[in-house]
Amino acid sequence: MNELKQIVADMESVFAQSSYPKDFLAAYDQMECLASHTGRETFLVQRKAGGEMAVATCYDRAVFPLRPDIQLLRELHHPGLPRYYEQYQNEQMLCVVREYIEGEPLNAYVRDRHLSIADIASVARQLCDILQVLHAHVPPVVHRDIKPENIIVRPDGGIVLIDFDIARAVKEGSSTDTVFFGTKGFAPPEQYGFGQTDNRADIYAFGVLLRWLVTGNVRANGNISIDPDLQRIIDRCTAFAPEQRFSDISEVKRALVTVGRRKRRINPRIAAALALAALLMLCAGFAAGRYTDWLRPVERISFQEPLIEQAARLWIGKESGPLTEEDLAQVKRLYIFGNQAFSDAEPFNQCDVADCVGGPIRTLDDLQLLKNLEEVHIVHQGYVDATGIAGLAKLYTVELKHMHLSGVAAIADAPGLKHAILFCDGLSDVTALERCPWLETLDIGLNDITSLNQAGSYPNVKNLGLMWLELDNVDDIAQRFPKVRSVTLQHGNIKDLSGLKAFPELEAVYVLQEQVDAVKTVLEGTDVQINITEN
Amino acid sequence: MPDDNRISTDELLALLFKERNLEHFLQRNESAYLTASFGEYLNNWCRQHLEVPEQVIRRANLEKSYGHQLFSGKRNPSRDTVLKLAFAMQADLTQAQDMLRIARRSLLYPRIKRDAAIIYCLHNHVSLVDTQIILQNLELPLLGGREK
Repeated sequence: MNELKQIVADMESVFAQSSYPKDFLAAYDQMECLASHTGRETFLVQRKAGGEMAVATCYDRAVFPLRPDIQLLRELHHPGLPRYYEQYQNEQMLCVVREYIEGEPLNAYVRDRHLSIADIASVARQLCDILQVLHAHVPPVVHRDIKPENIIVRPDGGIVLIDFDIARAVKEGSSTDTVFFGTKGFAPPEQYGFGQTDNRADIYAFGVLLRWLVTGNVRANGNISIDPDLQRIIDRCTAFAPEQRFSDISEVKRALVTVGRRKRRINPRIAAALALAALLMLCAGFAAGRYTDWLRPVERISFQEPLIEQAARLWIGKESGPLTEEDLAQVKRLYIFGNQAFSDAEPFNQCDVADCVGGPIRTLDDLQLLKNLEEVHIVHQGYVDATGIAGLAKLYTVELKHMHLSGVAAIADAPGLKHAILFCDGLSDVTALERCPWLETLDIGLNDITSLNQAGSYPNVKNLGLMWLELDNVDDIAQRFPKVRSVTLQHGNIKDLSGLKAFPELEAVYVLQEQVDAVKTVLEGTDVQINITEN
Repeated sequence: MPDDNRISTDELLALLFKERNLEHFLQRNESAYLTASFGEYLNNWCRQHLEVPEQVIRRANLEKSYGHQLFSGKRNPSRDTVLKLAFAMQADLTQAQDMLRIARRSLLYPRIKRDAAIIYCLHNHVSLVDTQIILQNLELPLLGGREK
């Protein structure tokens, strides 16, 4: 204990020399360093009185002799801007404390999700609104560092623009910026010293951000084709000369409204040629004495989830080429583990969560294309919207494991479901499955289930999986599952196991070595086989 | 308890706290970790050290099902949870920083008093319990005490 006291004393002695303002350290605990640059550190801090989180940026005055314009932050009020709280200073440092925004930086948000054009448009429009507030300020405020890292996406989808370290109020009469600030790739040419930056510097960075959101690149589109309307907006935002850009962010927002809504006009000459060709083909059809199928518009079948398409193709042995409805009707089983699809159960069963990269599937809507699907095996994904599984008449096995499942209501709509393996899916209520009268296997291990009330009652379940569950007791388990023959209990923590004795048809339980004694005590005098497994 | 080979607090902090340029300390080397998830890292560590997840989860003083969700990759750990696991796995400072990088959490930063105490304890293999005592005596938030 003396050693620990010595460590504490040493630590106190060293940190007594800290350069941060003492009143700042008295008011806040520094919890994490969010960013560190020469002379400037940004911390996640926690208010000692009350525990609220905040963000503090501390400037070394030797490096930043001019104080950042705190007044600017105080005057700006908008849900898309962090609130200024207070500042602390001493001879060495100035620490500015502002609101902590719960959420993810846009770069991380995009990395973990696929954004639709509607999502991108939403981010862009919100950013326009924020920039409008900055640029309408008197004098106008130019952020000068718009980039994904400085945009926080809140859990509700709202965005907040942070980091005003290099923002400046535009001064009349200044001809150039003398020092380069900003982020290469996003900063406009004038920010490198070609002229004074004004609101069009932010419009330039906005255009780069838009291109990055659509293509993943800041400089060029690569092989990705962009909606022509959107392309025009990006080109105009990122014009080299500021005077060729949009002059006002509200113009950009107006232009964005039309993206994706414009009706395509066909060149009149091409339209005439197509009409003539169609007429000739129709005549040919009549001449041949038959109306042919090719006059019918062909609907191209497309999947939302490429991995589900791959699994379907593997099952029917058609790796490429267009899929027809007849092809899809042949798909009976899907096997997907992490980011890999398989043609059958054998390689799928050899996969282990610990060895596989998690998969990209977010929705099961594609299953509606597979009307004859009988078994679906998908493991190790992220948040998965399961609503698309509803109403598949022939489905009898659902194995969805190691993911965050939206719920089981849609699974319960499969009328013939016999096997539901829903291990480690973040579920807290599976009672909807009571609607499946033929259910024989129910595995609800490692879910957020702490009472059998969250499981329900099942007259025909024979195999019950309760691994990793923490339950106070299983007193009414025999009433809820009267036909159970085998139960898996490994790793579970069931305080009172005595209910197991009441199972009329129980044949086997599966436990770990350390659980054997407790189970033996309860099942003493019965013929139930106690199987010990390693895992 | 600290082992006998530990360097003194003064030495360590002189190295870190008084260093103005911390860029080398925080140098990122993310490319090496692009393919590893935090769950994979934990499982690999268990395989290499012939341990089962339950032992690590217990030593890190984590709730069991939550701990397994971390091992299965179903949940992302908070920064404090990563640090508790680092103590449970007797990680040194480099390994702890690697774990934070993989979990995409802020690295330990020695100019923060709380981080400096944690760095010291990791470096000298002080147990999680003793580390919490040190944090408490320094009147700093305990690991996992107030998750953001």
